[in-house]
Amino acid sequence: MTEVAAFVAWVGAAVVVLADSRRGLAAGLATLAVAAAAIAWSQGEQGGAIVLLAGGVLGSALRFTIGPDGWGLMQPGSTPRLLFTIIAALVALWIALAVTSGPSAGARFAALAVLLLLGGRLLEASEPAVVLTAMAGVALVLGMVSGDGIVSYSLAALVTAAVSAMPVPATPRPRGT
Amino acid sequence: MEPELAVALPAAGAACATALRPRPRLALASGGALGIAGLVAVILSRADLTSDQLGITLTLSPASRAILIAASAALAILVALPPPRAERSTLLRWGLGGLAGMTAMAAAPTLGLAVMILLALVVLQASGAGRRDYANRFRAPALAVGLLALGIALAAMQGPSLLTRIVAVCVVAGLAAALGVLPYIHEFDPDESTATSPIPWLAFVGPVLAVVVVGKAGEMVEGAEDAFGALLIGLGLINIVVATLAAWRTSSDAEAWRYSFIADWGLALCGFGLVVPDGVGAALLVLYSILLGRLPLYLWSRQSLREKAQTDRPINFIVAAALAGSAPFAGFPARILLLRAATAMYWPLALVLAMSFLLWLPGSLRLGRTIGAPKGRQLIGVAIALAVSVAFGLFPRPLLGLAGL
Repeated sequence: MTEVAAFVAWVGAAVVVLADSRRGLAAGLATLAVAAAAIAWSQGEQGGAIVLLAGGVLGSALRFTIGPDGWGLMQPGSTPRLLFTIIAALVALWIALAVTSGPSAGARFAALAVLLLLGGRLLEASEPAVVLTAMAGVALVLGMVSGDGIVSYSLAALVTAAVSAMPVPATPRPRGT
Repeated sequence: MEPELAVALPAAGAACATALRPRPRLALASGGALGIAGLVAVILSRADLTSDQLGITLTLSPASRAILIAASAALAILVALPPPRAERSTLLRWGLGGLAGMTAMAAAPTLGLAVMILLALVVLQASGAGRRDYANRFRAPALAVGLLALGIALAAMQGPSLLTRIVAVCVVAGLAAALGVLPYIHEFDPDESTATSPIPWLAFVGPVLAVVVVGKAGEMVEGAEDAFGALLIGLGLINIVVATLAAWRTSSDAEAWRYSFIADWGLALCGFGLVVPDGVGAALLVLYSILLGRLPLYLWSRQSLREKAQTDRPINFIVAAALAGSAPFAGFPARILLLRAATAMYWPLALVLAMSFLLWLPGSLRLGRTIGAPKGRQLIGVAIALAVSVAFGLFPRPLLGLAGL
């Protein structure tokens, strides 16, 4: 289950990297929240998984209502980002399987892949909705890795929802792209 | 219960000050009362008193408690003697919001929780109406959160010893990015409001964040403590040399002030890297002097910076001496402690540090002139900041004792 969840987490983070508008970002965040909850569940943190899922879904619902219209998936010019999602996954896979050891390689892969992808997105993005969604995703991963039981999951869920609820200033969008 | 109250009361104060924004006097009174109550809760939250009302053990370490008290005092001074054109209730609102987050970070049992609170603070600060582009305001602090999160994730994994060194790199780089020191200097607009500028990261939230990160990173870098210390010292030296020269040579006076904060952070990072008590003591004294000296002086100089007024009166030279860390001001015992710690660890480092201290002089003379000719409230504020600095310089022991050293 953890391996499937890890793959889903990468898909969610990749969607956040490839999306520029609210629907795509919301779909990415929701996918990521489902994966994070599944990983928490597989580690015996059922309460934490439910809380994380609730926070992620609420954050995703809020993102669905705030931000530029549309899906904005794979807009022209997004090829470097597509390549980045694949390279980040390969690097995370190498570290999770070959460099590090211990139980749950899937959880390790998920944490690394999501942090690499969303970290890269934070450095590259200029649209406030994208930046806030990436931050919400980082909060979900922090909930998974910080290891304070239900408290860290609850705080992560709260921060995810709160970050997604922040109003975003309008950014002028370039024409013809 | 004290740690919870120490977080909740300033948070409630910030909320009240925000809700009552149309009525500034009421906002100031309610925010001020709750802020004072929060300060009392911080003072009562001794390290031997833990609280687990929320299901986790909350406690304030002596060092973070001491820095929180200093930060509260700095806020109180600034609200009581606000800089020209600054509204008291606005200062209080931002300050109490920051204090609530800083106290929560300090009380958090693990670095993971502290970084989540940092993330919330980053988002809150970026939500203010600043002059810089939204993404630019976000980028460096968000990078800090990402690097610290990566460090936490890697620390939770088993692997070769190199992995622990990478964790140390992530933690130090994350701290540098959060503070806005080299090599991750935040974009700076001299005309931006201080609350939404990078200055709060350097001079208000930063001191507590550094104490929390360095304090909690110990377990994460077990086995690579030497590398962690060396990274902090190396980064500190780079910041000292580059920022003191930049404070002297840069064309903008406001930029010079920003670089002077960064130079002070170089000293603090060196102190934290020299893990002996004298080094940590020096770092804490530098942080006290940033909070209660350099930050208020910068804010009171902003009007003169706007007017480009520069004077060469005795007060300007006294301010320059305080900023340069000469005796009898607070920077002096910090430098002496740092030299003592460096000599104990590796004497050539003490030699390099001693020479670098001279670099503070030209930049500080320049900054002293930018205070202009302070009058009225500004003069009282400058006098208080200098008196506090002299008191810390002559009697540093009680301050170090407050921080458990």
